[in-house]
Amino acid sequence: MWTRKASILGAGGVSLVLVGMMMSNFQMMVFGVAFVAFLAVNSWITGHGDIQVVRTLSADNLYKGDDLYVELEITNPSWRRTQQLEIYDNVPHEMKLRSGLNYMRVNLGPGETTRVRYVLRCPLRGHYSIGPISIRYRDSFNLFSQEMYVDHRSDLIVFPQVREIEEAMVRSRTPKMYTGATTLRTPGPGTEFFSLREYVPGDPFKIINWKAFARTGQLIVNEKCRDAVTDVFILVDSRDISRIGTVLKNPLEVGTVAAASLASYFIKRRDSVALAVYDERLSFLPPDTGDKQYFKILSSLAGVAPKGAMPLQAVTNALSSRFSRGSPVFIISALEGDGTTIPAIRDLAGRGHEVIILSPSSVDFERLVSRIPRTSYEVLKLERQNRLTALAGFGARVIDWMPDVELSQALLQVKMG
Amino acid sequence: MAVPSISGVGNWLSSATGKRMIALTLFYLTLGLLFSTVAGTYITRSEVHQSAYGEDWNDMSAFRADIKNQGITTTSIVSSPLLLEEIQSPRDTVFVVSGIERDTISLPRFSADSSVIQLVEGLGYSTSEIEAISSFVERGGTIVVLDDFGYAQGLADEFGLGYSGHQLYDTQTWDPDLDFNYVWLNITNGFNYSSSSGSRTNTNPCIADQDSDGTPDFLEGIVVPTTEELGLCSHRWDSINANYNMNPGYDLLLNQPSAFDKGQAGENADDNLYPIGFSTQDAYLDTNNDGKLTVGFSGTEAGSDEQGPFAMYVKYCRSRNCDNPDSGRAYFVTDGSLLVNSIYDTEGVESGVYGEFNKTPDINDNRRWALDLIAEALMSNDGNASISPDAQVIFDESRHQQPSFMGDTYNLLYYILIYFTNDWMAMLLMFLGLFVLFEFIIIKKLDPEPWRHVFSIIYYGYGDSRRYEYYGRANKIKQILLTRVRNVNSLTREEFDALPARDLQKMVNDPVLIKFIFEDRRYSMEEIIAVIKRIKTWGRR
Amino acid sequence: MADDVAIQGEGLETLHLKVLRRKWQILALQITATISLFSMYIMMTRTYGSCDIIGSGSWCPALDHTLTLSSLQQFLVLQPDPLSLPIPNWMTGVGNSGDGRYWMPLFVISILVAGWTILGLQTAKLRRRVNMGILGFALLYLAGLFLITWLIGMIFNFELYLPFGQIDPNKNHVEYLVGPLLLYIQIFILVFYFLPVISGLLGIWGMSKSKISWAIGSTIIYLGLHALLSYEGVRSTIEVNLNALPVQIGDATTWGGLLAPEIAPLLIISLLLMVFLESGFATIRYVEYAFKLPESCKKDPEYVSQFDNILNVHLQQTVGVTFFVGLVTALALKFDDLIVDLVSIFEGSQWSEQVKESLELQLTYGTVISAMIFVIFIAGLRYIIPWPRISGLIEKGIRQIRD
Repeated sequence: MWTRKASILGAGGVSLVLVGMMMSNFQMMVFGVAFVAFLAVNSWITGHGDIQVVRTLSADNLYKGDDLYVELEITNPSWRRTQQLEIYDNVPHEMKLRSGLNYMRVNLGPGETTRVRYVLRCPLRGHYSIGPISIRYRDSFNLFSQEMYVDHRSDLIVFPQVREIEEAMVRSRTPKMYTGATTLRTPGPGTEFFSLREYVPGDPFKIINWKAFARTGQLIVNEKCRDAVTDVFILVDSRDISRIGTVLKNPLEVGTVAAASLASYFIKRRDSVALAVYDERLSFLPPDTGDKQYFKILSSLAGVAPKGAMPLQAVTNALSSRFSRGSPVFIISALEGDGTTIPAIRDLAGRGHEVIILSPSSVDFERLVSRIPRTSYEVLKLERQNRLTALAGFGARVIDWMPDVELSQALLQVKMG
Repeated sequence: MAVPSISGVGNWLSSATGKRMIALTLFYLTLGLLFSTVAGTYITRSEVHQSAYGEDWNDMSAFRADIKNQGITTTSIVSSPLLLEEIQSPRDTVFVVSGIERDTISLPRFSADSSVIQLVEGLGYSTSEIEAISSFVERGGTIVVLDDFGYAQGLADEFGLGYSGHQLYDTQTWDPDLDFNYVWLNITNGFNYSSSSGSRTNTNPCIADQDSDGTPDFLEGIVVPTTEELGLCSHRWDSINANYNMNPGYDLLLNQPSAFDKGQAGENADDNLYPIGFSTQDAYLDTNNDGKLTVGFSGTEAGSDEQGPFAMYVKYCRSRNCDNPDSGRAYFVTDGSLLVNSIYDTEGVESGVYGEFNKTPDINDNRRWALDLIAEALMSNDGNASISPDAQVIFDESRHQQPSFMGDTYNLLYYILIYFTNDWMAMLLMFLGLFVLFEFIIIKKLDPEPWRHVFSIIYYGYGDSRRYEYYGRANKIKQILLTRVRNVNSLTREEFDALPARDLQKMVNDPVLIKFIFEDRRYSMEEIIAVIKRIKTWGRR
Repeated sequence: MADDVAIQGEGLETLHLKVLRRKWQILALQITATISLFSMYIMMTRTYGSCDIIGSGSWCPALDHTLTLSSLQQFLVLQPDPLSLPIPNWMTGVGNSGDGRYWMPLFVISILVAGWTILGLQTAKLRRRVNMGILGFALLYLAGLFLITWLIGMIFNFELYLPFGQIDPNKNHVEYLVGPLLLYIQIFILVFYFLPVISGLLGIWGMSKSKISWAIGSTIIYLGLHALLSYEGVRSTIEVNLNALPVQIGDATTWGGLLAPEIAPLLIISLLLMVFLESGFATIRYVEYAFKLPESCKKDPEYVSQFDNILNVHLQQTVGVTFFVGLVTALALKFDDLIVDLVSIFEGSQWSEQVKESLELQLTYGTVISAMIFVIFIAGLRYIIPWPRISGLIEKGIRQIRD
């Protein structure tokens, strides 16, 4: 494609020739011919974009706020010089360049290789894709430029941050409502010792109690208790209303952090964790434990986006058959704009679930972005307080989570009705 | 290779790309058709003749060779006589137009007269071209226009002449050895410009003889002149008899001549237009174009041909009686083939240089006449016979058919270019075009933006500011207070609604709040704030 | 995977502005631009700096400042109270002939621009002080003596009077303005004539695109004015005795029979203009790119080596392209002969004869048209000759031999 400069030069050249003819002026004609000749000669060396690009990322998954190291290896495999080549790696605009640059101007000779290295910071959770690589090649005199792209993409997931909440959970009254991985007095694959018994063929060697063997001369094996796993249900409110506040500070954002942290805590305790995210519909991850489940939960939380207005009662109704009897249910919601909150929680509590409501104070998040008149703010807060008190009245444990309060701190304050 | 199916073609045709391609193809087809139509009016195939560069019997190579032999540069114009404006020394230039075989293409133009826009152009040459030729003559140039039924009318008009456009039959001077198409034009003295001027042979350096001693001025005192000394008058020197021909008269042989209109070639000394050669009285113009001689009463009878005498050779001089040798001249003869090889070079015809030619024209003075006028234009008349090094004879080949289509196209391209760089109207259009082009480039042609990573987290700050006012109203506050009272006392909605007012007052137990609950009035901002403060502290008691 | 990604390296060479200013490629570009600017100006003065022979001796708007300065000097000498111009002739070039008229002013301009460029590298405070100092001095020089003598005159005479039109010549203090004004007029004339050089030099060394554009613009305006004033249509109305360029081209005798002597300087001017333009703009373009790079990239050897690559190739191409543009243009202007030869082979002799003799070819039309056809042909040749591949192969071969 001709650049503006080339177009002006070309049109100017032809115009000079014509005007030169009109005025019988040789200089103009020679100028004109020279201009056009300049274009013609340069059209021989316009360059090319047939390059090989390999992108390497320092990680495929990372936590929100972490740094990502990116390297692009660019090789010109052809026999021609690329001429002036601009290489630009398309980085999602939600990521911040921390050092280096995702852009470079090169002029690669045949077979030459170069590297572009840069570091990105990912302040927002989500599923992202880096790439494609945009390429623009032009001649040295900027007369002809051509754009193309190498469709090479690298996907990555930015998980919500996971906060350390163990201490808070131990100190607060909340975790004591259930026991986590309790030991049942029945043998099975577990972690705690149950009894000794004689070895029977088929027992794995690693459970043989060598000390007892040394003492008795008989093969004795350790038998362990079967871990009884508690199912913990985490319900995350991802309705449109949960985006109140700023991009980085809003009920949904802090909610995902809370959900991830809780999941991490319980899975570490080998509890089964189920995740339900409700926005315009319900996404449910059945209870399970282990790293795989942990990854699933984080991945799912990375992708949540505020949308829809599904009522909480619809969620609890839909899940009622899936809730394990007596299992604790964490509801992470600002509790705004949903008339079904109270009946839904009343029902849950009525069915014997321990309901813990972690409620980011949306009014205070809203204050971060808009100037709420003092009186209105106070009234809104009073109304919210009424709502929380009512919920506590049904036996739910309610945490009013202010924006500037750390999750671990928030968990310590259980509001009772 | 996969053969596209009919449905595939149909899909392609109905797709955006297909439609675009069809539209583009149609556009270019139309453009091509338009261009070929326009070009077709210019490039018309017919017989190639009267070219100074052709070697056929009906070309003029012999004339050109004579000029070259005299050391004069010959040049051609293949595009347009507009180029005459570029001639630096018109006084040393002769422009020869022999047969204008085709019309021109040009744009409508503005004119100074009342019509303002002149849509119909002159015949043969465009108005700009005619102006260029006329200006050339004004600047001292010499033009020779030889045409009969061609397109010379436009040019002739400029000089006040009118070509009749009909063939002339002369019952007296036709050549019986050849046929009736060949007519002799006998001129006793080619320099007798008007009845009052007398013979002006002195205007031509070849026969200028101030002292009337029978020797031209430039050869005074030279007995046997050399070729150099003879200059451009060597054609009058008979080297065998060592004799110099001083005859001012010419017997010109014409082939299928026409004549000037009677009304428009009359002697008019005021116009400096001098009719010199006439047909006889018994000459007839084939005004009814029947190809035959139809004699009627004085040519006025309907259907009959017009009777002579007719002017057939007219000379125009910028100066009175052509006295100023540096002033421009124009020669008009109503025969395009006056200088064709078959008549001009009778010796060559006899020796078969121009191929088989079944007629042998008699010896004539066409050559002497032509070379005389070249000498008159290019040789100084001061007795020195000097010739300017810039002297040149230009042949107009732009209105001649070219031997090949490529040649015609080449000429057309040049014509267009020269027309657009010389004609005012076309130049104006071109300027406009260039201006639009530049504007277009400047406005539309934008370079791609430089790439830059922009870190931007879309700010979706969200809040419903419309509800703020609502939450400041007394009724809403009242409702919230009541809900608070109900929650604190663990009452259901129904129980609370059924509660007597006295019990409610007891529950509230705050005179200000009780008044607030029961009194329905407008509250000032200060009052509202005080109430809210009270409500906040109320729950904690 | 994480271990595969290295952080940006740091080399000895960096792309900081201070380093760039001393980088040989950047300096080479700047010097190329400067030399081409000087040569272009000298070439222009040779072509456009003379009056018509008929009007020689008198003033004409040719590109020669000495004409104007001499006329002004003559005018001043003829005054009842003869005056002279403050800047001496040896400095302005008045009285010299040929290129000697321009060397001294060009030298002085170079010194001044060098000073200005060095000043540009100083702190903003110093720059402002120097600027204010120069301005203050200029104002003081202009009006200082006039005001002081006037005030003193009024004090000593103990009366208020106007500093002009007084019978007592000692009271006409306004005459003190004449000298400084003449100096400024002289400077203005010099600046006007040397605008392309001044503006161009400031643009090249002060890295200002707009100043380079000014240089180009003023050059084109000079050429345009010359073309207009020497145009036959205008000359018939206003005769300014400019030496017009010839309309008809003579035989090709220069450049090994490629170019007519009338065309050679014109072609050189256009080539030099392009070299100046491209080198000047390229310097700024590249330095701007490097300047905008983040700190870590400026130290990254990959960025440095690629920057070197870009500059080296640009320099090579400046030489190559200029040579080829010159050659192609010269060949293009000669192409009409070839066309005639081709035509005479493919066509009958009649048409080729008349084309060969045609006025169009002699009057540049043909030359220019055939030149354009040739240039288009050259542009199309890229589809036939894989030049980038050939040059790439050579480059690869050279590298292999070197390794």
